[in-house]
Amino acid sequence: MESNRFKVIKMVLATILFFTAEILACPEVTGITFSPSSPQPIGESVTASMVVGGDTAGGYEVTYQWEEDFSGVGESSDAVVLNDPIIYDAKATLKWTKDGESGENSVYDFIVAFAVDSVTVDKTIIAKGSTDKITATANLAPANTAIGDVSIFMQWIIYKDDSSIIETSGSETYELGSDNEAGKYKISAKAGEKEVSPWKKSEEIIVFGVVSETYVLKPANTDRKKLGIGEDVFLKSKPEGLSTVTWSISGDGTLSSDSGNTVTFSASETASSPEITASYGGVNCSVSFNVIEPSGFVMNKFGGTYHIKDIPSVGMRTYMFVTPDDVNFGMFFAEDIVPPTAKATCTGYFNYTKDYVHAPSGVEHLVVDVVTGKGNQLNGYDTAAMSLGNNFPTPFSAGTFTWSIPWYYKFPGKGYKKFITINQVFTIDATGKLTVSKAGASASANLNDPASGY
Amino acid sequence: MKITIFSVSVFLVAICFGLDQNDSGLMQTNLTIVKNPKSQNIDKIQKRYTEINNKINKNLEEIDLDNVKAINFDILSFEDNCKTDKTGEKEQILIREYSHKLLLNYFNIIDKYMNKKYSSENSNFSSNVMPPPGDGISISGMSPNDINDPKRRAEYERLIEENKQRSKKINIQEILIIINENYSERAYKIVKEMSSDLKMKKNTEALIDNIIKDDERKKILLGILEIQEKKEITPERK
Repeated sequence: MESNRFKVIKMVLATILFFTAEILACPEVTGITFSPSSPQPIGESVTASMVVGGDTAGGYEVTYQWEEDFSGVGESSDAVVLNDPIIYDAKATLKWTKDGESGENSVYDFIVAFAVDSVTVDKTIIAKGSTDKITATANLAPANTAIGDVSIFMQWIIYKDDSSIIETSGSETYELGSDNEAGKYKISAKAGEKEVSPWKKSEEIIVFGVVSETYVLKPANTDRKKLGIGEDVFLKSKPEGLSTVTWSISGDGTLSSDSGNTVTFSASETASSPEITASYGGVNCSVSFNVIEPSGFVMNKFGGTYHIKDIPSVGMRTYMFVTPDDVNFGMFFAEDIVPPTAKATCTGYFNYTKDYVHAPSGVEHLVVDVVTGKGNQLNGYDTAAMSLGNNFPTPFSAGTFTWSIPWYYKFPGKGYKKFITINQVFTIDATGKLTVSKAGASASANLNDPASGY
Repeated sequence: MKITIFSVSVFLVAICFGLDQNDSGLMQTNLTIVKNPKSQNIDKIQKRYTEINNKINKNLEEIDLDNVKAINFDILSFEDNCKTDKTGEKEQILIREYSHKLLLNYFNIIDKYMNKKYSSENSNFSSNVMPPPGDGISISGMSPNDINDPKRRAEYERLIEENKQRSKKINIQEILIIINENYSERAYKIVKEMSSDLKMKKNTEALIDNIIKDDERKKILLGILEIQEKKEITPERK
């Protein structure tokens, strides 16, 4: 048997349970959702919706009310266009009536509308080719607000010399690397797609660089960093028109000036590896050159072979090339400049000619072209010829006649420097056949070959 | 008190003069010379222009083959080196005009000394000369002293000297050809940029007319400008 006391407790609990159930069952707004969700770039149209709990079907009469920055009387608000970068507040109120009873509750929430307020950069100058980069950050309005991740809304346009060169999106910052072309840049950012959302540009930033251009247009790659000794190169700081570019050199060679937007670098007269540094706004940009000396000498025979019938004689004319073919030695070259000159080295048949010396001819050759596969072509030509004349000794036998001829180069207004020795060799055999060879070219003539010219 | 009034008056006069300075940018009073930074820059530009132009004119009097090439470095970098991001519009116009004048005047050196009839194909001189044939041995490049026959030796020496003189003349032409090749391509490009609109074209045409002395060069330069005489078209009578 239940005691009366226990019955009373049961009744009280049942009553509490009844009223609690009634209260819990009545409709209420428990939250607000925004579509699209916060944050949003300005210009977007947003609708707020109530999250409703409780019993809405059990004979309740329900009304809705939107207030603050939203309006409407539906479960969802009227659409609101987020025209300003501010926090938009929403107040949602749900009222119900049932069987003479009524109730209401309200909830608050907000959505952040944002826009780009400014674009700032961490540096204004970087040197091309360095490891530096400039990071541009889009500063958002409203300020001092935890807006959240907005990267998917961000658009970027990169301008170089006022022309747009890159368009990208999807990040809150943009990094301009030093691998970009030297020039004046501005970085512009915008939030979202709508017209009301402004593009904001950074201050002018500079990728500072140096371009080099050889004075001579041959070989065609005038931006090459391999130079012939004495070659002249224009060094231009980029972008153009900077006010205080200074220049310095480490290593050999000379600069036409230590300041200016364009200077001329003249390579040294011996092999070297100079580094030239341009400085602007505390940033340095360097360019290195590999300056080489002439490494070889090649002759190419052209025309016919000189010969006088029945006289041991042979001769050839050759075009002359100084190697290599990937630089321009824009200077003078000359054979055997300084007397006294070397006597011939003779063997066998030619022993009687051993006192003959090669003499300077007093001519200088200029580099007039650079021929791929051959080298720096000199103007004029070389003549390597021998005729034993009418009174040659007989019988013929094997023999060699060699002149070791030094070749020099000279810069305008300077002295000569020897760079190679070329052997001019005549060989005779027992038939009187004479052969000449010099720097890779050769020609032969038999004694009884018909007469011929070059 | 009198000294203060005098000082203020002098200051006001100086300001008035400053607002009405002459072309050179100089304002001179009996107290001091005031020179504004812009006019200093113009002075610098004019000085540089005169310096380079004098070098050109000196070479027009007598060519200095060792240094004539270096002048075109000065010319081709003139505009770049005078212009900065602080250069005003008036200065820019002056720089451009000077640059164009120098650019054109340099052609006069090339045209004065370059023989138009010369062709590189006729670069006929040799690093060695073959002695004339005779009884004794002949080797190209041999010393004349090794030729016993005085007549033959003299002829050989004459041939050597002739070859040497020919090479000198040819080398002058070759140097000018090289300069012409390397300078003209760059200079023509700038001339083309000088004619981006009709007004500039007319100015450049006038400069070419005044400065360039060689008719053939003038023709090339005007061709680059693409200036064509406008022919009046008279409708045919029916």
